[in-house]
Amino acid sequence: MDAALIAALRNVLGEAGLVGSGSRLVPYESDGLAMLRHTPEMVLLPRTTAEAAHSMRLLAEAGVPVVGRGAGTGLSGGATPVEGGVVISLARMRDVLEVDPAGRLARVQAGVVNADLTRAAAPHGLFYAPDPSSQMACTIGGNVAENSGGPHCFMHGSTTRHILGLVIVCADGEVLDLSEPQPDPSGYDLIGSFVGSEGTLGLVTEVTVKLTRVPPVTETLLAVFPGLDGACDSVSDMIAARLEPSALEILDRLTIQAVEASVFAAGYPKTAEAVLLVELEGSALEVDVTSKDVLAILEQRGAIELRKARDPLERRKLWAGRKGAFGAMGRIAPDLYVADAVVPRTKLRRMVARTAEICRERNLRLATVFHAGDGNLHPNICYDRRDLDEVKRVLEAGRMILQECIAAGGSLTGEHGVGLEKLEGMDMLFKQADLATMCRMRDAWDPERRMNPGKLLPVRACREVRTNPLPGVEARDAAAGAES
Amino acid sequence: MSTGKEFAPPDATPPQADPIAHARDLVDYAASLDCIHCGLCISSCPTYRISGRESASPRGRIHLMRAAAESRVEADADFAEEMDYCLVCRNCESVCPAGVQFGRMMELTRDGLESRRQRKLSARLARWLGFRIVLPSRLALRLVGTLTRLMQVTGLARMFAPALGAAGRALQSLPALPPARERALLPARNRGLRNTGDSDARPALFMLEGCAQPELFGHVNRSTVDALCAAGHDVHVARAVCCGALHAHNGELDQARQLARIYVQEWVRSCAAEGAELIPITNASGCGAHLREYGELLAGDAQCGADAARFSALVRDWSELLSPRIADGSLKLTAPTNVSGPVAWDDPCHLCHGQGVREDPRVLLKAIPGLEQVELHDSESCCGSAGIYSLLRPADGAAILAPKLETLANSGARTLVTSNPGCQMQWLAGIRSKGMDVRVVHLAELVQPTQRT
Amino acid sequence: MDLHAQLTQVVGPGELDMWDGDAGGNLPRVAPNNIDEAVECLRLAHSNGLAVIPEGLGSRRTWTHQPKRADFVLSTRNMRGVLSYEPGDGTLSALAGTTCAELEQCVALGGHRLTPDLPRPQAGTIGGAVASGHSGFDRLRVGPLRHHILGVRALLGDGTLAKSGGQLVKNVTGYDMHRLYCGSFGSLCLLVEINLRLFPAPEEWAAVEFHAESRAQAAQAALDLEEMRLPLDAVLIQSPTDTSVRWTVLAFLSGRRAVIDVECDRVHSSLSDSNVKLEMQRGTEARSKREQCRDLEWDEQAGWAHLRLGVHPTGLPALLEQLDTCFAGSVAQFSIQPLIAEVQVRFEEPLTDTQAVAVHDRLLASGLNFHWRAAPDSLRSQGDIFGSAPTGIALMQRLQSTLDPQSVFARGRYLTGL
Repeated sequence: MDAALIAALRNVLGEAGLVGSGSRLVPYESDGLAMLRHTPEMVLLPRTTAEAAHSMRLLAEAGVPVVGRGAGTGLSGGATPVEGGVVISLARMRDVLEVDPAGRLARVQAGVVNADLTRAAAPHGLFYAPDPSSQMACTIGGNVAENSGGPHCFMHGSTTRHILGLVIVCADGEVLDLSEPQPDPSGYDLIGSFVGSEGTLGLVTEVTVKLTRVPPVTETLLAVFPGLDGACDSVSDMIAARLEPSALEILDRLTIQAVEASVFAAGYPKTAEAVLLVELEGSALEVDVTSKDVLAILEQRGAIELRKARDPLERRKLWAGRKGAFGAMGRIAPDLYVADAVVPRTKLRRMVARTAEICRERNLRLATVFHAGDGNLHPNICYDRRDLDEVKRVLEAGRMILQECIAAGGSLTGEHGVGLEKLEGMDMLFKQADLATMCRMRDAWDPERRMNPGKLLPVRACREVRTNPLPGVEARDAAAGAES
Repeated sequence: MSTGKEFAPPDATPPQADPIAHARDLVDYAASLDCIHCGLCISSCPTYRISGRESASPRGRIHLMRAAAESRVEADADFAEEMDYCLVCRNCESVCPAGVQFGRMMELTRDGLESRRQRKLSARLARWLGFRIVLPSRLALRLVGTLTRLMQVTGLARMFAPALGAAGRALQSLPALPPARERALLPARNRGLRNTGDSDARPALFMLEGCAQPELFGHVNRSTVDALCAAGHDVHVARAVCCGALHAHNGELDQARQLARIYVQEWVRSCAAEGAELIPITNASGCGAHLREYGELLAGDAQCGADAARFSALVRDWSELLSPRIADGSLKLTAPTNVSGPVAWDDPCHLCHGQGVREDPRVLLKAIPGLEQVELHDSESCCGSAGIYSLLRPADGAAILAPKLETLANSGARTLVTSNPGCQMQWLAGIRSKGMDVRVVHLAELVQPTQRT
Repeated sequence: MDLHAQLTQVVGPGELDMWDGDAGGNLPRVAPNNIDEAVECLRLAHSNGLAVIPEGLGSRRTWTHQPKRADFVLSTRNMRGVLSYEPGDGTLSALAGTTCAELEQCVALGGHRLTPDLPRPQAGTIGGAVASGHSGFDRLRVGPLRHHILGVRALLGDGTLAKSGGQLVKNVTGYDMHRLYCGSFGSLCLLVEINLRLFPAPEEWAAVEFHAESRAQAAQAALDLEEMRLPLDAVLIQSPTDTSVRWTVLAFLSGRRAVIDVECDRVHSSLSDSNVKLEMQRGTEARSKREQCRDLEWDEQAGWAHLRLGVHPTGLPALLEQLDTCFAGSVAQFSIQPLIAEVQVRFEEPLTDTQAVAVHDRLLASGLNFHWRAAPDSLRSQGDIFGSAPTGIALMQRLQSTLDPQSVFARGRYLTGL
């Protein structure tokens, strides 16, 4: 890295705002997907939008690629640094700028931790609805980049439905201030198309979010099943019956065992083959009416035990267990392959069974835990990276699972994003023309393709369409204007 | 019981260890594999929250340890600095779904780093004095205590502190030491009060007075014993001085093992003399968490290992003995006369994260009649004391305390309750520097069981 | 070969007529029968440097500006039909030219209701609804239309067929191009296929109507209803009409029958406590009342000038304050959804050009976010019926020129030259 550039950046960010060399860069080499690594040239830690924009301008002049990073909890390699690139971390942008209880919104710096936002909203009877399992660590900025989900997105929708405004530092260092919330701003939906763009369009530095009223009544049910089939069928039945719980989550036996051995032990029965967590929200009456229907389905589908959380503490415990599930797998396997496929909710049972079969055939251990209500599967395949044959089998199984999901009308990722990890799958799901169209949108934001290059879109797709606005267009329109 | 070798002064020339080679002995590689890199810990980490650097987060530090073991990174000055910056508050362990034993890994890494560090002679001398001479010896501690009080009373402390550099700052950060009468040690045996009608005798206890506690806050030990005796326990007071927690946290594992051995052996002898298994207890959270690790620490010790494991399994914080009695109604507390205004409880890290004790102190506080309590937001985050961290890195310690001082000010509490001498000192220093009107007490000072007839 | 003949060659003679639209005279209007034919039409435009106006049934023709230049109109009206409706999954995929009414009927069979719940569903296509970003009457309950589009297939100006998203309720694979297209008024692409998320059809409906002495009182009544946390689809306050001098408050509820029973009682007793006389309807009556209110928002046939104002609910009090100044001196009817801070303004007497320009200038000066739907031609030719240029306009222009570099889709119909 150029010494003058480093000096200029240090001038903007101060000594504590720049990690320039040495072992301190090493922990940034990967995000939650530890398999893929690349040490960044530098890590920048701006405290304000202005600092971020100033840094970005300097990097643009030097033509340096930039990877944005929140807490680095993503699972698709979205925050893995790139060749010759720097990381801009949001870790020092953690201020909740404003909580407006009347307007039911909050304005935060993008490095604010998801759970801290809900904590700030809680005194007003409000909460921030998207609740990724990593919510105690992940940042709102990262959530925006990935369009993160979470168990309660079944009812409340993924991140994109909760974003009212953004401040974006564009690739050239320009600040795009879209923070003023408007129901239908005129012009193209820049916010909607930016959310979920995985850091390839710009760096988000401030976010205006919608806050949701805490429901009057929340009821959490735990249903124990002798097998995954019954749990999956129950979910499909509930969707088909158009019931509207707020969350539907399934955990299989291996996951239950890992969770129960951890600090997040939730009291799931250790010998159960599958548990289904059902949460209902609404007025006491709504919850009561729905709960009756839900219970009838659970019983009919062969639940062998039904438990209702007695108090908020027990409810929190049931959820803490679910949310700690991924980390808890560290106890049962040195490495974990996490898939994030989505299928139509009518296909749950078949896909879950096929996933198990695919792993069994390859002698792989599978732990499954997923957002059943959204059809969002998370098969976690255990392996040891030192066993090369096993690694090969895992990758093969992963590919097969994805292929089958896509054949069933499904998709590659429901909430983790494409990142680096699922690039290969993009060709399975999209045609060249689809990807080329996405590249065109990207080129409007970042014509030099310096923002998180090589993520989300297969490079080949981008190389083929270097679109440039035709010089003749404006002239022609001007001529037409003159005619009329 | 110490060999001459252990008490030998440091060599004038530091060991010429190659700082890069043999990084493997820095790290428990197998333990580092438990970390699945999920990152749930990072926001719980006080040093990450302040610096924003992932290398100063638990996951980042484990990543560094692992990379060092895989020879992908050098254990260079930056590496050492990030390890030193860690408070070992173990907040990360409380949120780790994979159950990574971060504290234990850090102790090992610091021990490995210490052996290859090239410290200045003065620093080596200070460490040698502190860890090898003063902490393990009651006599030396008394001497230091008396001298310090003398300097404080005469004003010499204030006068000379600026000239003494780091030591001077440490001297100034100490609270006013109590007079000798309050620093008196406890009797070796304290009989519990018993009613004729008592159906079951309460288990006898084996209490650690600790190194600093008698000098700094002697009355805390007395209050603890009084409360336990009033609740019907016999309390044996150990003669062993320091439990070795400070050594273990600061890269002196061998000395920590030695001190652990001394303590376990005394416990074994006392149990034999009493003909019963005494329950080891402490009122200092840092010591308690470390005592629970003795089994691991001495796992390879043919002579002491089994005893240490048994010992660790029995260790309790003193509050754990009393809180069930509140719950079952067999113990009542009296209203304290020494407190006015709302009180706030701040969980010592090594009580909540290190020992998993969260409810018992709260049960005791709730049982005190007429006590107004306020909750402190983030009460489980570190105050920055962290053993001798606040002495070694005063600026970092203060930065970590700063947001907590603000929370305290906003809470309206007039008394801050904790249960660890280090935390007490840190809070006192912080409150003094901000000119706040808040008392700092140990929980034992508020817990006064109703005298039974 | 002239354009007419070329288009006829693609779609056959029956699917070409003349459109008495904008841009100074009649234009040929072509209605391809399938996607392939639509691709051919666009390629024709692309290779000959022609400009195209996309439309569905043309019901929102007056919602945009007159284009700077246009050569023919491309209608999706023949590309209709449900491609897949999965009642067990609550999702729908349909060709863009399908009317909302057809879709409503289709999904009702599986127990779902269509979102968006739009006025006069038989008059507009789903493609048109998405292209204009037209959210439904039940927006309070389900949120804006853009949240419920799961994926689309669209034709770019060069005839490229490109999909984004899928037919899945949760999916983050690739960019959400459909979010960009939603509300782009055909200035980026021609939508040919739309996938939507569906909501359960309620078991029971209820409508509550009462009067308030003033607008402020009516708005407060709406807020009070929200505080009760009722299963509300919409709350509407309407300005006084010829027959009444008071404001009308209308609330529409829907949900499980047992719930609606109890909630209606709750509304009844709470309003009776404050001595409000109310009318309450249930079932089909409630439904038709609701449809009546919904359709009033967009009654093209009446030929009323009509516009929509929206702010984030925090801005509602300020918005209401500004109404008086902005519309002073004109006979405007207001129908306001206070809980989502949306105001529909109708002029039931034709506005003179002078009046229209006066209102428009005041709106521009107010800084409010507005959109003339059915604007007088004098305004439509002026080029700012969507208000002044928003932040990010330069980026929007870049987006348009990268997605449609040859300006196949007629420029100038959307805001500030887009």
